[in-house]
Amino acid sequence: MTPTPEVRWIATISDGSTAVEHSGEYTVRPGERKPWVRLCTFLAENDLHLTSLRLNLMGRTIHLPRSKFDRFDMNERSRAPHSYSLQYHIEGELDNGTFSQTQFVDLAAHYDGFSVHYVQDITDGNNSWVIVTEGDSPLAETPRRTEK
Amino acid sequence: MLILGNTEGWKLYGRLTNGNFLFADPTDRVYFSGANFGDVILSAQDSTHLATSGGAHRCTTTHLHNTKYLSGSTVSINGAGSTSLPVASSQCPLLFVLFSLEEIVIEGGSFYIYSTGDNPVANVTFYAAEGGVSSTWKEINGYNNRLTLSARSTPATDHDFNMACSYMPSTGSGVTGNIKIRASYV
Repeated sequence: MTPTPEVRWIATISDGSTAVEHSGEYTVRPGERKPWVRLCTFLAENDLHLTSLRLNLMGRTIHLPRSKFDRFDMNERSRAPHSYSLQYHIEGELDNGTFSQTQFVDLAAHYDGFSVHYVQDITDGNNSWVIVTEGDSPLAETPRRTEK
Repeated sequence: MLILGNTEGWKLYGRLTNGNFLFADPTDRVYFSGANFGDVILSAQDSTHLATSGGAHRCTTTHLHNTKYLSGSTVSINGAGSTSLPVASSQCPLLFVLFSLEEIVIEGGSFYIYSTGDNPVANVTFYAAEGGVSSTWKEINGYNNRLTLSARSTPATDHDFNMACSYMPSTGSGVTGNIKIRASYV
């Protein structure tokens, strides 16, 4: 029996539905594009966008910036991104006679002029980083939110 | 290690001069020598090999292609005269394959040698060029000198990165360092 992956993204779609990696339409399909890319295609074809994106890692949930953030009295001050993206990074190291590999998942919330990334080590899960960047050209970006 | 649910990884092959490949075990080393395995290097390496972590020669019959730096835009391949870069992919000694169960595209990546903490390795000059792409050598000693790898925009389950390398130790031999290759994909 294939074990349930311990890392998955969860996205809320503008029609109110939820897309979950490794579940339903978004399982791994050998020879096809990754679930995230298939989600982006589905959104574009149906004139939808994401209202929130989060990562579940070993039962912990990390929330990216979202629209209508109604916690901690920050609703009036929080700002929603116009879109999201996701990519992976992989490092291979031939280090003193041992070839080791480390993978990272990189979820980003995009604003006009800058992006906020959450990068998580998904090989051993020990480290994560929050990074603000300028000038991103995401490989797989969701359709942009149009309403304020 | 976490259970990821995705299945990407790097494989490293040595490309032999007879056109075959030698899969590098996770504990193997890339070994640069003078004319023969283990010979002292006079300027830049004249042969390239795979060796075990214990130093035993793995490509004993047919060696890896050798790409020796001559100038910023020229190379000697397997002892032949000067040729302009880029080195043909089929003549690069190292083949890194990023494999995946799913089709992926690659935004780009980087390739460099390093000592501890991504710092340069002492007493060595190390050049690399991406096969079929780089028209000049780049010295890639340390993260700040990394070679940027080209993007792969066509979805595929395997993406090849062919690397030509040239090793020039200032002490003749015995300098060891680490190799890092990175890619970003989805």
